[in-house]
Amino acid sequence: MSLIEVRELTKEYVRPKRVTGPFGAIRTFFSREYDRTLAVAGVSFSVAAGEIVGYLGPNGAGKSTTIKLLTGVLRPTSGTVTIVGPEGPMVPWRDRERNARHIGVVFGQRSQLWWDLPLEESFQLIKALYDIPSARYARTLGRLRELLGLDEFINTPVRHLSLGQRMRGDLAAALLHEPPLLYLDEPTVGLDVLAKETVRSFVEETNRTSGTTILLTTHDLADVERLCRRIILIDHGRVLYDGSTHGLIARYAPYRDVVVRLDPDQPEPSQGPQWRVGQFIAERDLDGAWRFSIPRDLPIHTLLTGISVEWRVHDLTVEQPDLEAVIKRLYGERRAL
Amino acid sequence: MRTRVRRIWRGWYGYARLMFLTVLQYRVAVLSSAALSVVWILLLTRVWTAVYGERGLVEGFDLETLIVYLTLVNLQNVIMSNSVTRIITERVRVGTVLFDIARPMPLISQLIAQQAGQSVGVCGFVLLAAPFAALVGGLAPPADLGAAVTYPVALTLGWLINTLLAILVGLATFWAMEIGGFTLLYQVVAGFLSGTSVPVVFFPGVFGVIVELLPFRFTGYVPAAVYVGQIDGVAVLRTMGWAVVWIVLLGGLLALVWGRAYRKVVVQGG
Repeated sequence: MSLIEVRELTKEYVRPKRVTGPFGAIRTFFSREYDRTLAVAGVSFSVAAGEIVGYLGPNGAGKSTTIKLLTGVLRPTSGTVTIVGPEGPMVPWRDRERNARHIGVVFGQRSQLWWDLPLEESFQLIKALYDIPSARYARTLGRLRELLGLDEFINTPVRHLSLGQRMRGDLAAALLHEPPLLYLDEPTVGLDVLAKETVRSFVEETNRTSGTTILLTTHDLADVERLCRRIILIDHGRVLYDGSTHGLIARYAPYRDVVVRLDPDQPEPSQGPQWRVGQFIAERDLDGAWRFSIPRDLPIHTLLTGISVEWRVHDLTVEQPDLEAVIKRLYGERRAL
Repeated sequence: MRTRVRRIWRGWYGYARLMFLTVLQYRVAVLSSAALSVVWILLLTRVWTAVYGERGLVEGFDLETLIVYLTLVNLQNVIMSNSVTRIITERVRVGTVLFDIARPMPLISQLIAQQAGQSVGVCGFVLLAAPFAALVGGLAPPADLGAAVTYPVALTLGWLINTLLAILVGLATFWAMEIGGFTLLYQVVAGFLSGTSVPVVFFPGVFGVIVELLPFRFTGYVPAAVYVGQIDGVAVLRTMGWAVVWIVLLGGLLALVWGRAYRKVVVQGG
């Protein structure tokens, strides 16, 4: 049974066209012309309880708009979203309050914390707002304090927190009421390596111990590789790929690279930029090493024996394509279209 | 049912509490605005004393009553000063209104609760300023027992009208991103029409009739006039009836405007 069911979700932003020239602002106000932007164009997917799904795409692909639709902040132009709650199915923008009790939200670029007051006061608001009994609040906060290391700054006004501390505070605020569903929109944006690691292991831990279902958008693919078994890739508001992380790599990068460096005291195997060994062709890297791309299903044995008949190999590495290489290629192709 | 009531109460309390604490955080600013109102009371009462000269009664106000009225209405005005317009424009501008809409409590209720917390917090500072205001202007006990009982009610109704109006102004930000100038103009006009410098019964002719028809007098003139006994007897009940009518009207309008604003929500960037 899926927890989130999205069908043909579409959101078109309509903004009045800006009129330039004299009295532009006033003319814009009375203008009947509009700019239309299709941010999400018929997206469908479903998420099962307990999954962590990476929702990926380049800037402006429609990721945040989808999350805003799922949280009920925006109303779609067409299409449906159904979220299974404890009291039956909900439509986020129609059952906004019921849905709100059921979800936690982090928008990495913004904060839900109260700027002027100590961090704990923001938590007190969450406690009141989500009607959390004191005993449960104490227990959950205790766990969050420990996992996120909040103790050193829980009494500091939020405006004095570093970005990493603020993000930890935001994560705690999103999870205090223990929602079964968590939306993370770029939770690691701008964080240093250590802070990113804290966020990642916290998300992992939350999913593992509480079974929280998580939809994550990010531009840091290390987040995805660490956390998500499943990826939904979108661009121009459409789903490009929905499946396992490994599947994506297998589908879009069915090669791995074998990089060979020869002993320098032998003559160059080729004067040009390419070197042919049997059926394989290598390109010369900038540092003089030779790079062969070998299909995944082909053992590299043939290549190695082919080379070692004539040449002495000094160094050899096999580079498996990672998510980043795949995504880079995919985005590049889309842009070229 | 009991769960529902408890949830609503806790939500209101949560927001009110945070704004109360924020007022304490900004105590210097709040104290300054209270001090400023004392200076304003000093100026106003001097001017009006000069204007009155030897005149006895103008539109039912003798000079002594007028001075108490002016002192009180300007102290009230510090409590009425609202943050909700600023809060909503700011949150729409930077996009944090996202979080507010994703809360299990309607945005309008969140704002009213915050204003309540702020006003209660400011009340404390106004009580501190009151002795000084009495010194430079003049304060007296309520006109009679009836006035003592009905004044808090009139003040609360006026406060609610003021808050609803401020939220309405703030919601304009969903249509136009920058409403700073408009907000300022609104505050000046609304302040004047509420009778903080001139009791609204002094407004002449057609202008007086228009002001009588607008809701602003409930936010300043009405409670203070009830206190000094300018409005008394059945007139008090009739005026408060009108205040309730205005609250219902504004509440309905607000629900309507918010419904449209929500459909328009375009969160900036990201």
